[in-house]
Parts: sequence; C-alpha cells; structure tokens
Amino acid sequence: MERDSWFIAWRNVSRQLRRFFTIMLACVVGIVIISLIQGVLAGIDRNIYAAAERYYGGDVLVFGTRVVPYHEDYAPAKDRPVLERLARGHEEVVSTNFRMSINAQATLFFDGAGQDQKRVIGIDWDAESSLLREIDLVRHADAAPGDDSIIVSQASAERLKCDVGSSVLVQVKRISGVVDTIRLTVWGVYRDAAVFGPFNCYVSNKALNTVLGNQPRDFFCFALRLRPGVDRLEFAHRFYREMIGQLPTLRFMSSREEYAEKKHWFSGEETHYTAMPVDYTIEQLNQLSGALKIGLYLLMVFVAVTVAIGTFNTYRIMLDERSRELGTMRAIGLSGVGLRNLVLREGLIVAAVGCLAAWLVSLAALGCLSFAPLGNIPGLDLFLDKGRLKPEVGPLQYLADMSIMVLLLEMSAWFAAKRIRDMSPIEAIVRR
Amino acid sequence: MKPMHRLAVAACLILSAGALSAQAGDQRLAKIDAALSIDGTDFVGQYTFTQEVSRKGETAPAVSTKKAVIYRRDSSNSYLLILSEPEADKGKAYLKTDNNLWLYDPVSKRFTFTNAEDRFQNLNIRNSDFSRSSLAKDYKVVGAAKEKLGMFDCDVLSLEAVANTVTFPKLKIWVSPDNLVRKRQDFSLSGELIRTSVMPSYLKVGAFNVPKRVIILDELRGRTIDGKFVNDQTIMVVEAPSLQKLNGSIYTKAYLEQIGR
Repeated sequence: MERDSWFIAWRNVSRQLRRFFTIMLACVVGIVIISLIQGVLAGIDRNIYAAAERYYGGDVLVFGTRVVPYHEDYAPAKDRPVLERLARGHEEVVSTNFRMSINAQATLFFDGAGQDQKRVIGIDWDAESSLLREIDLVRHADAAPGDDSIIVSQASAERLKCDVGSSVLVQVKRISGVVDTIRLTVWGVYRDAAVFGPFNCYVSNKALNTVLGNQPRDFFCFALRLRPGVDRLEFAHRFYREMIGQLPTLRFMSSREEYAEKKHWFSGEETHYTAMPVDYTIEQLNQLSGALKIGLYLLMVFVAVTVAIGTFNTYRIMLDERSRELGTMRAIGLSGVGLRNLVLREGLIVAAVGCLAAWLVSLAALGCLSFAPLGNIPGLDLFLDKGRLKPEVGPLQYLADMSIMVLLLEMSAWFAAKRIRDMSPIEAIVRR
Repeated sequence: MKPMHRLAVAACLILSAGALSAQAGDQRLAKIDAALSIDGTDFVGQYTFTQEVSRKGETAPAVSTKKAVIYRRDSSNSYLLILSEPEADKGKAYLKTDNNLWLYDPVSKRFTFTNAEDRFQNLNIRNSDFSRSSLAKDYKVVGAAKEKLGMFDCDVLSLEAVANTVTFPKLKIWVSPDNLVRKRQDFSLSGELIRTSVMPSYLKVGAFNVPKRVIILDELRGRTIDGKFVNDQTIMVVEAPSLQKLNGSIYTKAYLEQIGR
C-alpha cells in the first residue's frame, strides 16, 4: 500500500507536470535566490578576511610596541628567534613572516606629483613570495623584486603617472618628526582590494627600516598563517600564554581598540608583545558587512515567506481543480489520512526534482556571478577580491537550504490537503 | 723638529682649528638666532599665504590664499595663529606653548594636538616655521663657503641636526653679513632636497627683523609646463607688523575658547 501510494504520487506528478510546474518553479527560484544570497554573504566574509590576511600577513598577529624613546609599534630583530622558536612548536602554523609598517606618515613623489600613503608595508620579499600571487598585480617587472623595489597601488600609479620601472621618491616622517627619503623603483602595480583603502604600498623590510632609521631586520608585527579551520582566537590565546616568560608581554587584548588604547600602559624600555587574531583588525568592516547581512537576511526571509504563500495558494487552487479526482479516490476507499499523505508525497517528489534543478541552476548562477567583473561598481569594491565577488556555498548549506524549501513546500501541501482530507467523497465529487 | 713631532703638532693644529671652527659655527648660528628672534616683547603681524599649484594642461597655476594674524612671544617660545581667510577656515587657530601645538576648531570648539613638523594648512609651510629660530640649539655647522646671492655677499652654511626633534635633519643657509638668512634649503636625512625658501627682504620692526616676503618652493611637487619644471610654491607676506607687550593669557586655550564664543 505504501509503495502504491508513492507510485500513485509519482504518476500524478509525471502525468500532470503542468499543474506542478508552478510549485516546482517556486522551489527552484526560492532555493536559487537563498543560495545566491548566502553565497554572496560568504564571499564577502571571505574576501574581507583574505584582504586582512594579506594586509597583515597572517591569521594570528604578534605586535610589538615600545614607549622609550618614543611610543611606537616597534620590535627589535633580537626578538625574532624567540618568536620563531615558539611558532615552530605548533603544527597548526603553516608559515610565519615578519613585517614592518608605517601608517599615514609617508608620501610617494614622482615627476612633481605627490600622493600620501595610508600605509607602507615592509615585507621580506623572499619569505613572502606567495603574496605576489595573492595580490592583484596589474603589471610587474620580470625579475624578482629586491630591496630597492616598491609595489604601488593602481590608484597611486594613476595619480603619480608612474609605471613599472619608474623611480619614485618615498618620503617618510619618522616618529621623532625627522623627514627622510629613499628612492625606489616601481616593481609592480596592483589593484587594491580597497578594504584598507587604495593608497597602500609594499616595500622590502630592509628599505623601510633604513628610511625609518631602524636596524634592517626590525619589525612591528610577527604574522602566523594557520591551517584552515584552526580557531584563531584560541590559538592567539595559546601563543600569547607561551610568550609569557619568554618575552615582555602586554595583557591579552579583547579588541584592536583596546590594544590601541592600552598598548603603552607599561614601563621600561623593552618592547612588549601581545597576540591577537587578525579578525580584531577587521571588526569595523565586519560591522559594515553585518549591516549588509541583515538586509540580505531580511530579503531571504521575504523570499521564503513569498514562496510559502505562493505554493500554499497554488496548492489550494490545484487541489480544488483536482477535487473530482481526489473525491473519486476517497469514494473507492482511500482514507482522509491516505489522501493527505498522497498530496504530501506528491509535494516531496516535486520538491526533490525542484531541489535538483535548483542546485544546478544556482551552481551556474554562482559561477556566472564569480566571473562577473564588478570592480567598477562604486562601493562594492570594498568586498571584492581581484575585482570579483567569489561567492561560495558549501554542501551543508545547500542541504540546509533545500531542507527549508522542502519543509515550506510540505507545510503548504499539508495545509492545503487538510481541507481535502476533511471533505466527504460525495462533496468532493460534486464540488465542481 | 723630528718628523713625528711635526706630525703631532700638525694634528694638534688641525684639531684645534676644527674645534675653533665648530665654536665659530655655533657662535654664528647664535647670532643668526638673535637676529631673527624678538625678545622682551610680543610681535603681532598680518600674514598672507598664497599657494601656487601648477596643474598639467593648465598654463597658469591654481592660486589659493589664506590670511592669518600671528601673535608671537619668543621669550616663552609661544605663538598664536588665528586664520581670518578664507571664510571656511575663519577662526581656526594654532596655539603653541612650550613643545605643545594645538589646533583649535571654532565649529566643534575642540582642540586637536598637532605636530610642529606637519604642513600648515596643506601649504609648503611647516607649523614649526612660525616658531622662534633655534638653529644654534638644533644644528651644528658642518661646512661653510662664500657665495654672492643677488646683492648679498653670503656665507653658505651647511648644517646638520644635533637633535632628532627637528623636521629637516640637514639644512643649507645663505646668511648675509647682517646675520639674516636670505635663502634656506631643507634636506631629508638622506640628502634629498625637500624645499627651498628665499627671504629677499626683511622688515625692521623696532630693533628686530621679520622676513617681509618669503617664497617657499616645494622641490618635490610641481609640473613640467612648456618643457620647464615649475615648482609648487607658497608666498608668505607679512604686513602691519607691530611690537606690543600682550597679556600672557592670549597664549592659552581659554583665550581661544573665549573668542570662539
């Protein structure tokens, strides 16, 4: 009987495809829209994080700071081995690197034009060769970059009218206020992800330290890249605890803001360290994307409710149209519960086919979206990676979306079937 | 005299000559500071800043003007600069007392801590340019030469900073016999020329000297127009200078808040 019921349901659906098409279409559209929204949200999160990781160099960051002779983010080269030894003790760590950096105290000059830089990032070219693959290089020199190389953003290059091979003058203001300059050759021009602004540039640690008056291997940040899936906050806590006793430490900070406020709350001349996940550095961006997410989640709810109401009404009309057929089935012995189950099974079959179609359509839609060049849309470039959105939906997310849609369809079918179930066979037959 | 003794004497002479020249250099810088400082009274002057920025494709430079009143008390190394033009910046003020420099915004009625090394109102002038001259304290003479600069027979002094609190660690100044600086070049630590200032004339205010007109060339910004590189420049003109003993309360935040109301 159970098998017969599934067979009858399948036969009804396959023979009356036109009737079920609207419901199937609603299922497909609902799943595609919801998965697209989720894909975009996941893509935004991933792009923001990837930009932060590129910007700071890792998933967990160890910052050094000192108060003597100046309040500044600075760590001496002598502390490098301690940090490297601590990092080697963790199998979660994929790679490490040291970075120097200077904020808003630098200007690039070329041929009479000047462009202030939001940040000059000093890196070890050899240790961070992967960065050259990760950043969106528009054009670059063939030879590997050296200590006299600089990678400028496309926005800076356009303002300065410089290009690969141009000799630009980098003027920095040291923390003491002294002005120093260094001439560097443009090795590459990159399209900035823009999350951290379009006016950043990359130079070698050695060049930046030289112009800042530091030792060549001094740094301000030790960045650790972790294996995917490692809890960054927990790892930062663990690494911080291991630093205690090995290096002078600050307290573990709960946010970047707290770090900015309290990083100089210590006495003594030594550089003090703390660790934090890179997530701390993108809290404001996360708030921005959070606001966007709320809007998109509301849209998702709207889509789900629309699909639910639409399918319920379609079911009602469809079952009304089929009252003679269903009444006949009741008359030849199908119980009210059996009739309801039949409708539910029809709904399940429609939902299953709809889900399969929706999966294929959404894969295609996500693929198209990930190839769409969106870099020129104002405001959106904040969330792009190399000018692309790169949305992504995991299999579990698809499963959850499909489950929700199946549930909505079954609820619509259940409520619509409830009326038919309680109807007498005669009433059903004579209804139309 | 044995050759070794000769060598020792020569070394002593060279060393003492070096010490003398260093001392002479310090003295010269002190004289320049004295010639450019206004001690025992306050100075008030109307300043006009004209910024000329050359843009590509334009034959004439873009000109913008700002005006300000400056109250200066060199004895306490203080100054108060209140902008009067343009209208949008009217009432904005810079207050320097000791080593603190504050920017006051009359709209928000807030003081923001700022740096002496920063550019003044995005012009080629640094906030530190309004402070009293302190060459003898901040620099030492590392080279000297003579050069005719227009109608002036100048000593050209190359200076290097002895303190790391100055904006430009290397300077070259052209000093006329009356100890007035007629030209000044500011260099970065690595020797890149950042800007050139020319002070062709001075106003005599009482017994003191104030540059009447200062032309400041930005050596890094400008445009090539008709095959010639034209530097961005700021011209600072001082008018209606006067000396008068002012109440010390002028150089306070409270005063600015009061006039802001």
